[in-house]
Amino acid sequence: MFKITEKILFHQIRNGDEQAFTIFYNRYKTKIYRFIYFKVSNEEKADDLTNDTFIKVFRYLRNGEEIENFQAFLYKTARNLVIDFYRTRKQEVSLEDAKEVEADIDVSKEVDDKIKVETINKYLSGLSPEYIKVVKLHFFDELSFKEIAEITGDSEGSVRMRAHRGMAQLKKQLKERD
Amino acid sequence: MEVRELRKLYKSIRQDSVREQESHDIVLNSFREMLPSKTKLTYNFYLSLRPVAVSLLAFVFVFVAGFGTIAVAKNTVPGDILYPVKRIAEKSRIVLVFDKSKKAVLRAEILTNRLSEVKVLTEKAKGGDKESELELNVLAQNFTNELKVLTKQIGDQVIEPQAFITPFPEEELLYIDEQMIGQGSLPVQDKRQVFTVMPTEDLEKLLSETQELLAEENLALAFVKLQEAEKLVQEQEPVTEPDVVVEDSEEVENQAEEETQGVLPVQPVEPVIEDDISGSVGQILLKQEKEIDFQVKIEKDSPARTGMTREQ
Repeated sequence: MFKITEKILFHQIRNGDEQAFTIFYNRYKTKIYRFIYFKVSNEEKADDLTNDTFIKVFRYLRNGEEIENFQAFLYKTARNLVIDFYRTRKQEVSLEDAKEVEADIDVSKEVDDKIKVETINKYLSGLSPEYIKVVKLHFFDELSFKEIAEITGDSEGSVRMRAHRGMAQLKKQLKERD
Repeated sequence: MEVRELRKLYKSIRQDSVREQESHDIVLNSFREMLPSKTKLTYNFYLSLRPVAVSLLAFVFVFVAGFGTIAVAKNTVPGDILYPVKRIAEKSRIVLVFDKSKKAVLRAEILTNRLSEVKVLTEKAKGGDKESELELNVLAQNFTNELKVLTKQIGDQVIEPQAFITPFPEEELLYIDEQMIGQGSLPVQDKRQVFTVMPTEDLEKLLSETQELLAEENLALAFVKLQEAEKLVQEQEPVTEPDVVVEDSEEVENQAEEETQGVLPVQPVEPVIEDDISGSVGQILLKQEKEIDFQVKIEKDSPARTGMTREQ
């Protein structure tokens, strides 16, 4: 049922239906933003990258490409954009940009969100690197094993196994720290 | 801390509301640029065309219905439902034509139509249709009047206006209003048989010649032809008996007695000259048949139908 709805939504978006766009955007914008923010820890950059993610998807649709799973495709696109961001990071930073950012930012919120990210990272950092990504995508972003497999390019079985093992490790660490 | 709390913490990370709106606008603009609305455009296109299509259809419908009705009404005779449509169409045509000579041709054409109607009604009346008889009388009078109007108009153009001695009434006054007859305002009685005997073939010939002459704008000759036609009609003017106005029952009885004694009302057809009745043979026969019928009725002592009996 969900898949059929997704297909209709996909078709409508391809035909330029703004209502379908709104449904699609509202459904995924926060998830993608959070996913990106967790990686870049900068609101402005997270905003830009979130916008870029959606724009990239629309460009992809305009070219007539087929998308099997919307959510997985969005996360994959966001992940690639974050990777690109880190690659080009040094070239982008300038003093003028930094001043503008300072003027716009709600400092308390920014700090608050940063603390949250640090807290989560503190617990996740204790896990084996191969488990962190899968645990985060499955238990925090609530993606299915199939979707994670699509994003990471691993097999579904291997993703499932890593997710369970990683979760067991996380629970153990949480208990130990408490 | 548990995993649930950690997840809750993660989910509390949200975009700033102001930036959220900005991001929405940016993405929406990109969406509009990259994926222009196909469905909406198509829908709007048809929607914008809809009133045009409806107006066009309505126009076509009115056009087809109007001209269709006029076409159907072309062969109607007095008494038919669509006959008024025919008359209105004819009048409209006269009104719409401004050229005097064309107007005259049109009038001649209409006269020919009237004559063909007279023919049809004569046939019907032969079949014993009483309504047709009544309509025939009215129509014959209308025909005569219209002929007079046309003759007068042509005469106006040919001869100087002072040459006309008798003043001519207005055209509208020459028509007998069918409604008046229906309401009983005119003294029409069943017993009174007013038959206009029209030598339709001769008249038809004269009228077609007139029409041709008018088309050629040969007014003088057309006027002569019309006068001939008028003369022909006047020779066969309906012979009418005086209106029988029954005032009391005694007179009705007296009249009935007179009728039983064989005193018949003056029959209009009898004085017709045989040479001039080429187009009215049917009507004469019809009259004779009616006479016989009437006499048979008297023999049977059946009460004669009068205006009074009809009203009763």
